[in-house]
Amino acid sequence: MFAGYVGKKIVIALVTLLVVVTLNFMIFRVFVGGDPSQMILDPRMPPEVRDQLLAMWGIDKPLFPDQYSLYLYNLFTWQYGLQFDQSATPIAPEMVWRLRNTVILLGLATIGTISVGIPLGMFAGAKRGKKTDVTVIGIGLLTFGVPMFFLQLIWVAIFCLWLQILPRAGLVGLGGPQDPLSVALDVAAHAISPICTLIVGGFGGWALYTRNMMVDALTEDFVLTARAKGLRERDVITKHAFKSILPPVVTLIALSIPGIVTGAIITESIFAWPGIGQWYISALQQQNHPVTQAVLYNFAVLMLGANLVADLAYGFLDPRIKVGVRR
Amino acid sequence: MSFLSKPKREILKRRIKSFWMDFSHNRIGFVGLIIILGFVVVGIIAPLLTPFQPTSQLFKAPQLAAAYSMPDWFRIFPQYSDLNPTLSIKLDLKKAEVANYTGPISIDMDRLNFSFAATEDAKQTASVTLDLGNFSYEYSAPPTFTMHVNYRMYYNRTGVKVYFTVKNYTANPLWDDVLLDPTNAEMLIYVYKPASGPVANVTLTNSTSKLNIDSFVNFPRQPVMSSLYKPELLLGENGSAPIDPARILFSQKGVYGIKLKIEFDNIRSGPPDRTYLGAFGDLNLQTVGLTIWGRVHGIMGTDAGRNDAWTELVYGVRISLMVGVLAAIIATSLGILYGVTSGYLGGFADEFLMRVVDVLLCIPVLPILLILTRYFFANVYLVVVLIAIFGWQGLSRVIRSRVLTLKEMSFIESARASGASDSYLMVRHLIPNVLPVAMAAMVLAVPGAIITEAALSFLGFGDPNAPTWGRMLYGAYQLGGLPAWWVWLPPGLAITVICIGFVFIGHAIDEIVNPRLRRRR
Amino acid sequence: MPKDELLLQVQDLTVYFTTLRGYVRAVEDVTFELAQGHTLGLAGESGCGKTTTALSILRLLPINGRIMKGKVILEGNDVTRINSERFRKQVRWKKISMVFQGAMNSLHPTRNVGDQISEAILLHEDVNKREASERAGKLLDLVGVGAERLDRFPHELSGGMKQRAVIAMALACNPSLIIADEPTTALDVIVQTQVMKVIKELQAKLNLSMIMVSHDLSLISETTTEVAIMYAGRIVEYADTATLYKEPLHPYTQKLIGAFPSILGPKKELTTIHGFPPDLINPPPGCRFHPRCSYAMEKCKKDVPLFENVGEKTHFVGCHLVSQK
Repeated sequence: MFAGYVGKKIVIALVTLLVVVTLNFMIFRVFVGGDPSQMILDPRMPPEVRDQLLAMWGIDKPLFPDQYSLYLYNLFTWQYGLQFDQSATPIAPEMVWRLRNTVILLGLATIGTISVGIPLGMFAGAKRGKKTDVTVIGIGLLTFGVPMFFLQLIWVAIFCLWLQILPRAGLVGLGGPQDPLSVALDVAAHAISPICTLIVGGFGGWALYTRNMMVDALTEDFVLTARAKGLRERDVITKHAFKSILPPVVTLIALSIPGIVTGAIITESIFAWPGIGQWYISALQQQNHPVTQAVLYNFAVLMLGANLVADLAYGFLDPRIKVGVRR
Repeated sequence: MSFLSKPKREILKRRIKSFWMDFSHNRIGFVGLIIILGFVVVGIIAPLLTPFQPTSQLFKAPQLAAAYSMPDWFRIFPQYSDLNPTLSIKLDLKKAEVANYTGPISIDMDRLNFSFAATEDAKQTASVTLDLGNFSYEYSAPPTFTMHVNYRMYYNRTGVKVYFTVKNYTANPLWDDVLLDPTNAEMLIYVYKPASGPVANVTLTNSTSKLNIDSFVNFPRQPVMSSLYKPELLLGENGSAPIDPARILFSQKGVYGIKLKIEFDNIRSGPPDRTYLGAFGDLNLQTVGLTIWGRVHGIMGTDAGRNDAWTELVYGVRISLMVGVLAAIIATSLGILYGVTSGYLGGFADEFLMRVVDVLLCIPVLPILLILTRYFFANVYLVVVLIAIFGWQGLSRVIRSRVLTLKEMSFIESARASGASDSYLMVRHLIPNVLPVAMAAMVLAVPGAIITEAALSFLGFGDPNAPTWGRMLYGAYQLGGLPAWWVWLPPGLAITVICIGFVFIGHAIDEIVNPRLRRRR
Repeated sequence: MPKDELLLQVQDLTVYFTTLRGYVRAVEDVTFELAQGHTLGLAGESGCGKTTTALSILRLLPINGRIMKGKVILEGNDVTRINSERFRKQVRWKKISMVFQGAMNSLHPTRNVGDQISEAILLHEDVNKREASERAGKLLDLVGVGAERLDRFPHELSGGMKQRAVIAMALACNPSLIIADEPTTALDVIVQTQVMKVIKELQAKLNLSMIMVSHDLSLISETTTEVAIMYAGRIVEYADTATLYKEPLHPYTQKLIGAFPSILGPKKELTTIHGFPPDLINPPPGCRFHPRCSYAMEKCKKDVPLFENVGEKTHFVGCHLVSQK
């Protein structure tokens, strides 16, 4: 039963990946421009150099099957091909570096958001109708209304521009000492703003969701049973009520992953954090198609991977899981 | 309303009435409704709230002050009380006094005509100085200024130079022209050198096309006209940032005088035996104006494009409401159709359609929207459609599961037993029964659509011709407007408040139509 | 009944709920006793305060519920007075355990059955996990579920199995008193009979003291030694089971018994009670039953009837009609 469930999830993930990959190819090679080289290359370039570049990019051959198969080969070997710039820089090394930056940023922010939001929601649900609860509902509803980028602008204006206590942009400052410790501290200082804003802007939604689930769960009979058994109220809330809502909370994590991953685009642009989101925007602006394609592919892989993990975790946490049935 | 029989209309009426009773007693929902109604009213009466119009496809908004100027009312704070608003100094040419003139020139002050005609076969020059009067300037130094000159000139082998002199009378009552050497300039402004302090030799350049007077040697078919001149930036001392000459020119408060000097000279061109004789220049001045651009303007100051920010804010309501509501309606309709179809068909078709939804839910929406708006459609209506296309999948799941339970209910069974067709069942029974839930989902989808559109605009991928709030925030983020919080804070707050309004309404509807929530009191 | 055998005394128990509309007088002046080894039935319509009474004994009222006055004396101590931490550690489940209404929902959905039973044992007794688990297995054997189902999840058990597992859980710490709140209501008839059989077997085997809360008079008659009939928050009649069924004195009890079919007894017309139970925010003055009572007198509308013993043994009734005789 569980194996079937897992198999199904994997098949869906693979189909989605194929759709994204094909869309990715079609958009850039078929719809956007027949000869993408024209916008990048210097017209005064000697024709033999030009031909050589075109051959390196693989865009001198027909679209199907040569270009498509090369493209697929590149993606599945995590090579991505070469950038559309004068020197045809390979994408892969920069991608590794940027992917690492993005994963660090989003990973820390997501962990922070969850570990603030969910316990808060749990607490609020247990204190239903009290001040904490009302505050959590308020913050939660507010979260749905405040655009993250607006919050981030306010943050930058206050902490980086007005008070000037945090660096505004980038991964590291210029001209600092180069020993590993100083660099690490510098990176941490630069990461504070994006991570904090993501947490501040994100925890309310999680708290509200958890709170609503908790309020529901706390009216269940098994919670009353747990209390009657003489469990401490804390254990009633964590070990019984919260444990029962853990599966849907994990689903929430799965559902929020697309937003988190693509939210990186905006966050990284604002804070000039050299991750894949920021690269995506600059590649779009410079019509650097191979980079756009590569980043989009990575977005899809990240999303699908995280989704899959969440689905598996759900199946693992909820013994009732059957194929296609959720609670 | 003929498609509903009378009793059905009565039922509908009663249902709507009872819904309204529930809704008006829901405090949060009511607050939300008032917020949204407020925005709707602002959107409708936008033209009454502001005398200006935002930039659109057909219209380029006027420049009203320097970029990121502060709101006018900031001057109530002492540290800003000195800031200048935009001053348009109209100079009445009819009242100008001819100070002195030399050379072969005839002046007709009634028609403001200055005619130069060479009288001998030699290099000749003529000049006239006009005293254009005084104005007083009582603010701190302005960010920049422009000179506006409208003239027509018919000429043959003649060049003209127009010099402006702006001088602070209060500081230096005596007018002693210290004319600096005008070189390679179309229009020059001379600044009186104060007893101490910097000297600015301001070169005004035409913002639209650089006129090179020396090339006006051939008889033109049409008279030459020109309009706007901007000062060129002065290089700062020791390589510091360039300074706008206005900072020096109007650095002191007081009464300023303006003089205009017009200089003609004849040119010999063509074969060497050509004479200087016969060259003429016929200059007709129409208006001359000086605009000192403000550091304060209007209710909310100006944006990067020097347009009125308040106007953009007010007209932004329209776009935001349109984007949010339209996208939500389209997405909800798609979601209902898809969900009802899937749930009603059931079996393999249902399974297949739901797996399609699963796949679509895993597509990274924002990145794809960015590609599409970057390469294909940066039009706000198409953005709406795109947002809707990517926004119905979640709802269709909910609708489908409702339909699955509805399908088992006896009224559907009996309708089917009495021979109702599939489409009849869907339109008459299933869709009306999922509508309340869909309504709540629709209202709750509005903020998402508004924020997505704002995010696109914010990243610079929105419709450049639509006055959206996201575009105003884009200015703050990309064009260095972050210190000018008075320009980007209001649109950000507006997005927040309008979204919260919809969230409140949606929350309330959800509570009313969703029995699970209603039980929670 | 001799004093030393007394297990539980409830005296003048009064419970109000605070709502936006005002106080709901859910339970008022409820008084009864339970002797060691006896089973008391609490019967009445839905919403008459049976469950609230049961929950207030375990101090499990919802946040808006409060015990306004009264005593719950368990083995000589008033448990409404002791502090909540001591109550939790020493009374809950150890002295009093409870079988809740919904068999389906009183087990945690994502934890296995054995784990949930041994949790209670571990909490109150100084044993290790293995011993607790062994005891849980024995308990499951006792109620006929079987020790091999220890690691099953609730959704893998049938309704009857689940309810039996819940009963096993209630027995976990050998409590002095078990409160069973509608133990069979959610089950179908055949399973009900099985569960009832289990309960009766256990009563015989373990000499259990129980409070059986139910609206089902046939269940009450089969499993109890005493019965208290509740109406609108008050006990209207209290007697040993045989007496109560044979000679019900309160008009409400008469009607209630008349409304239930008897399979073994003579065939007779079932009676119905017209009207609805009163709104407990504004209960009727005097006897709360008077608006629905066919014998109602002027006195009933004004004075609350005294709850007094009218029989030779114990037969308490609160009715003007009876006290007049």
